[in-house]
Amino acid sequence: MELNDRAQIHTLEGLAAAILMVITMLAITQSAMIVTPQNELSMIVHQEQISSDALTVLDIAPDTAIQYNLTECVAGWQGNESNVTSSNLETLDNELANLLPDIKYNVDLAYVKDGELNTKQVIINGAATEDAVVVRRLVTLSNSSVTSSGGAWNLTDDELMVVEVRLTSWQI
Amino acid sequence: MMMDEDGQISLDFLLGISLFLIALMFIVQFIPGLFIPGTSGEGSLDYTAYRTATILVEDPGWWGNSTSSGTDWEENTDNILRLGLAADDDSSSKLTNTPNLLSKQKITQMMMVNESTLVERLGLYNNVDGTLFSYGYNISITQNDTPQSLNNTPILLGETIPYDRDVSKITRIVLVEKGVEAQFEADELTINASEVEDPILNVTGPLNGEIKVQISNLNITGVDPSFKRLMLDGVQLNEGPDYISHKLVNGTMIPLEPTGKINNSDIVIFYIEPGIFNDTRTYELEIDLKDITFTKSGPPFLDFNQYIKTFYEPAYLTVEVWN
Amino acid sequence: MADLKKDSNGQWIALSGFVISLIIIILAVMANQAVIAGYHSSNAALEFPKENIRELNLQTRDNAAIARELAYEINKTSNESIHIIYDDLFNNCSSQMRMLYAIHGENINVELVSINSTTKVSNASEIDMIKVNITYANEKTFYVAEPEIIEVNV
Repeated sequence: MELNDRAQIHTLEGLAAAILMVITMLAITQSAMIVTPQNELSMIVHQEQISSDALTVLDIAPDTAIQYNLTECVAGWQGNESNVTSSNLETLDNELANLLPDIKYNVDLAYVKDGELNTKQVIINGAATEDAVVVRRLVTLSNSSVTSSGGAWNLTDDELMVVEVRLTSWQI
Repeated sequence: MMMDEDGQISLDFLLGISLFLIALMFIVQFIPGLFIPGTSGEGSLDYTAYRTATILVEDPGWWGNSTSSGTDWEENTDNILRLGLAADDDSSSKLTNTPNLLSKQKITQMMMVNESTLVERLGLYNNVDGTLFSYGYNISITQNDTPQSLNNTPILLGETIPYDRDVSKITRIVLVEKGVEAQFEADELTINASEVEDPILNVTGPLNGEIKVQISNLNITGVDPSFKRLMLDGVQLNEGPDYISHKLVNGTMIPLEPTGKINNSDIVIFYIEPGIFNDTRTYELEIDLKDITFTKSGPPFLDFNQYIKTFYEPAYLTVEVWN
Repeated sequence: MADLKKDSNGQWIALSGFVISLIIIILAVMANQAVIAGYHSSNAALEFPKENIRELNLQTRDNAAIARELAYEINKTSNESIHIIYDDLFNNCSSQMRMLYAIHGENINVELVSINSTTKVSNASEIDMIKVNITYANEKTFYVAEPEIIEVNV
């Protein structure tokens, strides 16, 4: 009887030790680390960088590089907001699509008129996903630049308007 | 009886200890997998790629010796302090107003900089306790997934990308200098009085890089307005290897087939490949058209070089780094 | 069971399992610490708002040039002096930029210091070299360029 009683003691110990170690292990791997966000962060930074590059390139492009630069595209805006089926600013849309293959984007314009902030959607290519990033670039419009691009901003001759081009982009 | 008792104890002990050892082995083989993805090395690799691309694209670079310094390192390659490709119109200020616009001279010079200077000046190495380990890297400028050529060498630096490593990659959109461009209104072009459909341009070489000729406001005078061929000093150039022709219709580029009709609102564009105007002399470039006429007669023919501007095209600069 | 309680040999297998678990936990915490340090340092570099700051700088330069052109244009038909017109235009642009940055939680200030390189005062009749003070601040970054010199007569 004494024998039977002592018989499984080492087995039980081993089992307890094994379970303890495995559970610790699992607990650590489950709670594991800030490793994934690091990768995610660099993906977001990359996405931000390339979107921002697209706007920069459009903004600084000399006439001999891209036909209409960012200022000219924005100056030509007719003042209509977009809905899902029709995009305004088609030249800008085409140029962005060329520069950003495999990336979807929406474009908003934000500007201050009579002391109030206005935000208008001008290019809609779909609903932004969770990991979408927003980059922005400013352009300054005067009545002469608006007139030469055929836009409808209704600026007076002694007025300058700063417009923020806001690009929301995400990977397909 | 004594023997029996010993036997049972060691079976129990054996079972316990092997359970323990199995669990231990399981954990030991788990440990490397637990820590490797979390090492900060990978993060710093991402950061190295990001930093390298940022410096190349947004910085004009810097050189300096004991007496002077500037961003025009491409002309002072012995004293390079920092490599950057952004074009800069004022070499004494440290910043450029045109990030993302790359200078052709700087790219050319970067391709000639020796390996160790490049690694050192771009910081493509890891410093572990004072010992430097250089990263593997690959830097390229591509358009439509093919490396861009500069003076007939593809812009490609570093090694081929290994398939069995983790590679940190970052892509930037840049504008690269492709060559020169000239835009003409049709009524500016000159012809030989006898051939009113064939305008002639005087092109003075050497011109390296691609050449883009753009003609707008054509005067259509017949039923089949079209492009026939380009002639250089009386010799026909070959479409394809020597040049490509396009027409720009409402902002879209369409190949200009020899039979395709041209409207007067279309802009005709020729891309002439690098290397055609390599010598130091004046070439006569004749554009043979049909049912499109010009009025201004020469000689002297129109001087192409007076109209030229540098032209840029969007491209992708990619930096890849691995351990 | 009574014998078990009396067993003074100690459950060393279970004990070593416990010790190994502790070691793993300590190792994991230390490794995590290293990762966090690396994460924060590269994060700081990746999250630096370089695009926003540069854009502020470049746009101020653009504004300075556009405002100059327009100021000369307005001056032809107005009896206001050129530096007052320029002041107005430039400050108007700056306040618009201020609002546009403010909606992203960034506080900027662009202040015109002088518009002429030789007289160093703002009431000059020629606009050639503009000095501005630019500041930028978001929750983590503070940037100052005082003065930023902009040549506009090129």
